[in-house]
Order: sequence, then structure tokens, then C-alpha cells
Amino acid sequence: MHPVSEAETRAIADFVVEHPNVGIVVTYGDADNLSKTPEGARPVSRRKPMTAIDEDDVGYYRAMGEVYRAALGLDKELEGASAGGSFSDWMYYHRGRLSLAARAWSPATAIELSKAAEKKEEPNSESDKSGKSGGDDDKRNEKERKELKWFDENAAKAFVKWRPVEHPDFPNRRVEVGGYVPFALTNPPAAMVEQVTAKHINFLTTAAQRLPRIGVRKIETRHLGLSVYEVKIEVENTGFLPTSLAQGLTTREVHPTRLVVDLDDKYFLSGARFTTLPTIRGSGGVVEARYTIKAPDRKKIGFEVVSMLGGRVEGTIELPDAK
Amino acid sequence: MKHRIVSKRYIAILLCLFLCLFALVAFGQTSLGNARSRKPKAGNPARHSFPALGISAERKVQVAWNRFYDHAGLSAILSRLHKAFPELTKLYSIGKSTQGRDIWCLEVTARNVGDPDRKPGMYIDGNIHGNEVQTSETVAYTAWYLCHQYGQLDKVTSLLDERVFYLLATINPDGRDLWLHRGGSARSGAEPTDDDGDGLADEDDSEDLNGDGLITMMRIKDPHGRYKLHTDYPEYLMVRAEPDERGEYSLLGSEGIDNDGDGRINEDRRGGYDMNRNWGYDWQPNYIQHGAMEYPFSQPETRAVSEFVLAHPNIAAAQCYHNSGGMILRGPGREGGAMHSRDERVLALISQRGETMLPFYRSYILWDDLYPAWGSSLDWLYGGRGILSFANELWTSRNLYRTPSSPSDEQEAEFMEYVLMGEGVVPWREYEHPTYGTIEIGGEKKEWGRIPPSFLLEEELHRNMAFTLYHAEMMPLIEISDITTEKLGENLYKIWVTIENQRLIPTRTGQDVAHHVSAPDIVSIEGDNLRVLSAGRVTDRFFKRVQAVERRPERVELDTIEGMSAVRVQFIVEGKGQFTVTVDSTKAGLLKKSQLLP
Repeated sequence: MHPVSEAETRAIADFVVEHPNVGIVVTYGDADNLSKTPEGARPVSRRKPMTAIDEDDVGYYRAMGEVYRAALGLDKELEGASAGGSFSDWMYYHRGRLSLAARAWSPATAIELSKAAEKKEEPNSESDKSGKSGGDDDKRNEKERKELKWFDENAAKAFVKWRPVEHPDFPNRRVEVGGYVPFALTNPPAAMVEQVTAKHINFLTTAAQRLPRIGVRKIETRHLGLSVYEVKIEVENTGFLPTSLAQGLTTREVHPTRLVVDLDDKYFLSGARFTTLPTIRGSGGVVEARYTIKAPDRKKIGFEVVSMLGGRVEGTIELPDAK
Repeated sequence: MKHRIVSKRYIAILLCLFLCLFALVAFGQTSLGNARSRKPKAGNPARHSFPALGISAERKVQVAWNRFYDHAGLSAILSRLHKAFPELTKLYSIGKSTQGRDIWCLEVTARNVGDPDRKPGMYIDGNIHGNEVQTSETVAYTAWYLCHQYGQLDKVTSLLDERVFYLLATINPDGRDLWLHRGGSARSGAEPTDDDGDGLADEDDSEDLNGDGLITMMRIKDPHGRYKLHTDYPEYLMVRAEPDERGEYSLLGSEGIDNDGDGRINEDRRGGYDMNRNWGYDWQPNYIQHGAMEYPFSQPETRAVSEFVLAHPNIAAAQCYHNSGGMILRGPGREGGAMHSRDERVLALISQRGETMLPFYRSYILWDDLYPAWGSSLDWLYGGRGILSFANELWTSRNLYRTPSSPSDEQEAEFMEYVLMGEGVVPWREYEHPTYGTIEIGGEKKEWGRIPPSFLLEEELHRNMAFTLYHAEMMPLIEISDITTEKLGENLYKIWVTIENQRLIPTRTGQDVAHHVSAPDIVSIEGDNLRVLSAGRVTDRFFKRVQAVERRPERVELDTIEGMSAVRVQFIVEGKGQFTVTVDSTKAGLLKKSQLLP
């Protein structure tokens, strides 16, 4: 009826709204942005709906695609696929999350994997390959024929032979029933399920390790005289992904990392209790917050860093002796 | 002697005169004394009142229409109307708001005339923006007026006999009560949102600092300020200092403090979204359309309304009241948004009538004449459901002096001074603010600007209702105006059925037809001794050209029956006796007519 009209889609939408810490989304379905790196573009305008991934985010999709293909054993990019109005697109375009989509299994992937396996067995089959293509110039329904061949060799039961039947709506006409078994083109043959699942588990566990992870790298304090101190806090991201994708900033759905010092505002000569930090890129990106404070009657001052996707850490500033 | 007699008479006359004078004075004195102590009888003036034109003499439910009612007040009005007019009304909740207030629908129609669920429906709501309060009184007034005038005025009687009105006085009762009871920003619904991205929701709203029961503005005397008092209207107006002139004040926004200690004031107020950007057609997320919230129909209020509309496919027209600006708005909300030219033509015609009924209102297309808006109710009602809809923006300051252009700030100040006797602003008073120090709090009252003063309110309600009733009157009204039978042979007949749409709006709009929103209108024929051999729509009644249906000749599907026009359907039947023709139109109703074959 309208977007998010169904109980199921609404439940998922509500779930992710209530879990803003979700940093990576993987959707197994029709769409696929892992087999092939999606195209990126500069956002046209902040007031217009986007139709392609922000080019600044493409690199992260490429990196995750490489992880995916490595886990599956693919040595090249295949065709991608998009699905309009999908949860996957919503999570990137509207909610600014790294939103990955793949088919849990597809004939195309299966064919490619079989080819790769053959190549491994016969590394010197160049002439053989050229001979094959030379013997078959007919390009009609190439994809279907490849699929049928694969099913013949790997799961012959997936295709039911066409057979004539009597159909009441078409009296005295030849009607045949047959073709692929329902869902055969979207699900692996039963014997392969375990193997396929293992590969995806491998991918998912690797992907999860690519989330941003916030940490405190360094706390520096300097006594400036009397009861005045300079405090420097370095916040780092030891994960792979940045604390926010470009689209997370555009949509403002991924809030900036905040640093909150447990100290009343009146003690700050520069800086403030509450600071929002810029995006911290992954693999060791660092941002710094600097404060000048008039020391209260405390030697230790706590603080916390909260990143929507990279976690929350606490730290303590220890003020050196004024003497 | 004679002289004595004369003098005697003279004395008697004098005496008489004196007595008379005395009596007169005495009597006069007592009569004056009585007049001073006499009072008129303290009866019920209503029993001695005579109606002006506009409302019936008999008022079963007394409502003062020169004031505003909170959710409980509106509920009471609707409940009393329902009790007083059970044969005209049905009262039910379509869902609950975020804070659990019922969203009431008063269904108004002549319940004993026809099937209420199959009459063309007029949907009317108000107050989706909590602060736009007079919209709800407009809807409630409509209910009150229709109920009282049914049976009194032919026009109203026909409206309730032929149409059903779904009246939702407030679809944002949380925002309404917040605004009426407290003030401040209340456009939003009441779901807490994190406006400033600090992980907390609604933690820094405005507040009534000086405890005068109103949330007004803060200003501070400031030698570097860029504002000063208006020379002629210092109590009412602050103006910018000239570029080369020193100012006296800085403006500090609405009353409030830094509740969460983040160095900002009032930056995460209650709510913080816009339910009229939350509808499931041409919806865009918050960064493109501010206030859109998480996804279409994410809010219980908009969700309830959408489910209600989906459950009432007979709704053929809709009005969503807003304030302000004096506009009759129609879609689309964005450039290139859904609008078929024939639907636009009908909307434009209705709204032209509105311009004459609503002085100084302007007929506008939302994106072009006002501003682009994604995901508003107009978009969904038309784009998603094919319903011809308007959003009236009630009240314009052009009505303060009844001038075609808006009055100046000075003229508005004069209105407050001379017509409102100084009402409309709160005098500025000093206040010790925890961050700013000595400031002043005061300025315009929340009731000034977007809603009319009491003595203009009733006019606003009635005129807008009248426009919407005209809109309702234009909903499709169909009739099987003629059934002609022609004998073609033994037991073989040609039957021509003529169906008229006697109003402006088609049975199915261009959007409805193009997107298959509702089922096509179906003209069918049946009879105990009847076999239909062929059927079709007559495409040329003079040359008798017929477009035959391919299958199931007993029913002919029509895309639409245009406004003020007729369609003809031909059935070729074999049989005898009685037959019944049925016209089933989702939005225009269900008709049946029986006739005997000759």
C-alpha cells in the first residue's frame, strides 16, 4: 500500500531505529552489491534524493566486496543486482549505514566457483578453453544454457522435464508442464547448503571485524601555572570503517562522536564539558580535543567518548601535582 | 360678596393646585424611587433570542464558537452532538496518539437514508500541526452545523442523505493540548526525539521562566545589540537598528535555560518532527525533508489516519485544515509530482469558488506558490489514493482590516492598540537568567498571528466549512437516469442503461484510473430468466457504436464517469420478465434499478 506498510517491514524498521549502534547491515535477498562494487557519484544537492552511493563511500564497499569474494572463493567481480524499495537501500540512502547485500547463493556464483575449481585442477587448459568457445558461437540464451549445464552436472533433479498434460482451460490444445523446480534458481542444492553456509559465516565474521572501534590513544596534561592546566585527549579509531560514512553525515543519522568531560563548565577556560568530534577514519585515525582548565579540588577527572557505531569508552585525566 | 366668593374660589383653586402639585411631587418621588429598585427578570435570554442567518434557531448542543477547546473539550462537544443526534452520527476512535489520547472520528450522515458505508465520503481533518488550533474548531463547527441544519435546509439535508462526512477534529491531540495548556513549540507530535544528536531526547525544551503562564521571548539590553524599540510602538514592536545606528537590544529566542549544560538553550525541544511530512507518498528522509521522521507513517497518528482512509475506500474528497496565511492549497508538493491535468482542472475550479467564498484567501499549488514539501497528506491522499484534496491555511492578517495585502507591522500594532485594547502582547519584564544575567521577558502572545481574535473566529469557521461543503457537494453523484429496452426479436432485447454523474468530480480521478487505486465502476445486469449475450460501453450514442467486452458480458467495467456527464452501457439479452441493473462504484456508491422486459 505504501512504504513500510507491512507488519514485517515495520518490525524491521522499528528494530533498526531502536538500535542506532548498527554499523554494518548485510541483507541476503535479491540485491547484490558485494559481487560487484557499486558505482558512486557526487551527491547532486542536499535537497534532492540520491540515486548513487556517495563516491567517498565507494572504497568501503569495494573493500567489503573483496572480503566477500575472498570468503566465497571468487577470484573476480561478477554481476551485481539492485532491488528497488529494499531494506538494504533504505539503510544506506536514508540511514547512512554501510549496507551490504548479497544473494545467499546464485547459479552465476556456483558456475564461477566450478570454473575456478576446474582451473585449479587443470592449470594448463588455455588451449582447451579457446577450443570450447570456438566450437560454440551461438550466444542466444547463453546465461540459461550455462545454468542448465551446471544443473545437469551438479543437481539434475532441479529441472523437471516438460511433459504434456490435459488442461481444462485449453481443451484440445497441447499444454506442457515442466521447468525448474520452485526456488531451484535461488537456493543451493541441499548437498551444498553446509558448504555455502560455512563460506558466509566466514564472510560475516570477517565483516563484523571491520566495524569502527573507538579508543583513547593518549591523554596529555601540562601545568600552565597556579591552578591552570592544559589537557589534550587523543581519540582513535582502531577499527576499519570510519566512525561515520559520508552518507551518515549527509543524512545526519549517524551522530558525531562526542567527548563529555565530567567537570562543571565553570572550570573550563577554553573548551567545554561537551565536545563533538569530527569523523575519525578507520585503521588508526586520530582526533584531538584540547582544554584549558582551572583545576577543581580534584586530582582525577573522568570523561567518556561515545560513538554511535564505534562504541563507548571511559577515561581518566590525572592532573599532575601543581608543585 | 362677589369678591369674597371669587377670592374663596381663588383660594380653593390655589389649594387644589397646591394639593395636586404636592401629590404630583410625592407621587413622582415614589415612582422614581421604585424605578431605581426595579430590575428586569433574570430569565434565560436564549428563550427570547432570534437567530441571525447562518444557524438554526434550535440549538440542541450549546457551544461557544469564539474560543478554543482542548482534547477533552472537543471530545465533550463531539460526545454531546452524538447524544443529541444519534440518527445522524456515529462516534468512534480511529487510534491513539503517542501519549494515548484518542483520535475521534465523528461520522455524520443521515444513517437511516441509504447505506452510510456506500455513500461518497468526505474526509475532513484538522490540527495535524498541534499549534494550528482553530482547525479543530472548524471541523467541530462543521459537525455541529450539519447536525443542527439537517431537516432545516434542503442543501444540508441532501448532503447528509447523499454523502457521509468523516470528521476528525484533531489528529494531533498531544500537540494541541501542549499548545493550549503550555504553549511554546507544539507543531510536532509528542514522541521524544534527539534533535541535537547528543543521545538524549527532548532534554532541553523552552520553559515559562517567570511563571506568568506563558512562554514568550527573551531579550537583553546590549550596547552591541542590533535591535531597538520601535519609536511609535515601543510596547509592541522591536525593529532592527539602521546599519549605521547603534542598537539597544539583542534577541535571545524563546523563554528557556540550558537544561542539559551543553552551552545551548532550547536546542532539543519536545517532539521535533512534522507529521505532515510523514505520509507514504513522495516521502523523503529527514536530511531532504526536515521533520519527516524515520519512515512513512512511522507515527501512531498518521498511521491511524492512513489505515482509516484505506478502510474507507468510499472517501472521494478530502480537506486537511491548517493555519495560516489564507490559502486554499492543492498538490503536488514537489515539482513534477503526481497531478493529472484533468484532476488539476477540477481542483482549480473548486478552489476558484473558494476564493470567492473566503475573502482574501488565495488559491495556491503547494510546491509552486508556497514551498516544496515531501510526504504531506495532500501527496498521499491524491498520489496514493487518488482523492481530490485541499489543505486550507486558515486565517490571514489581510482580514484584520479586510485589505487585499497584508498590513504592515505598524498597522498590526495599531490593531492591538485600538481594536484589541492593548491585548496581544505581554509587557516586557525584567528577569534574572542563570546564563544571561538580567534580561527581559515578554512579547507577542501565542494567540497573536496565526489565529483570529475571538470576534473573527466564528466567521473563519463558517466560511471554511462552507467551502468544504461545496467541495463535498462536488463529489460524484450518480444516477441511473434511463433504461431503454428495444425488442430485436423473439425473447431478444437490446437494453441501454444511461448513468449520469450529476456533479463535478469524476467517479474515479485520473490518478485513480492511472494507478488502479480503486476498482473500476461496474455496471451489471441480472434476472431470473435472463442470459446476457453481449455487452459493452456505448462510445457514440448517435451512431450507436459500442465497445464490446471480451468476457463476462453480464458486467461492463468503466474506468470512470466524468463529472457532469453520462455514460451509456448496452446489454444484448435473451429472456423475459424482470431484470435488475446494478452500478457499483467504489467512490460514487451502489445503485440498483429494476425493470420489466416488454
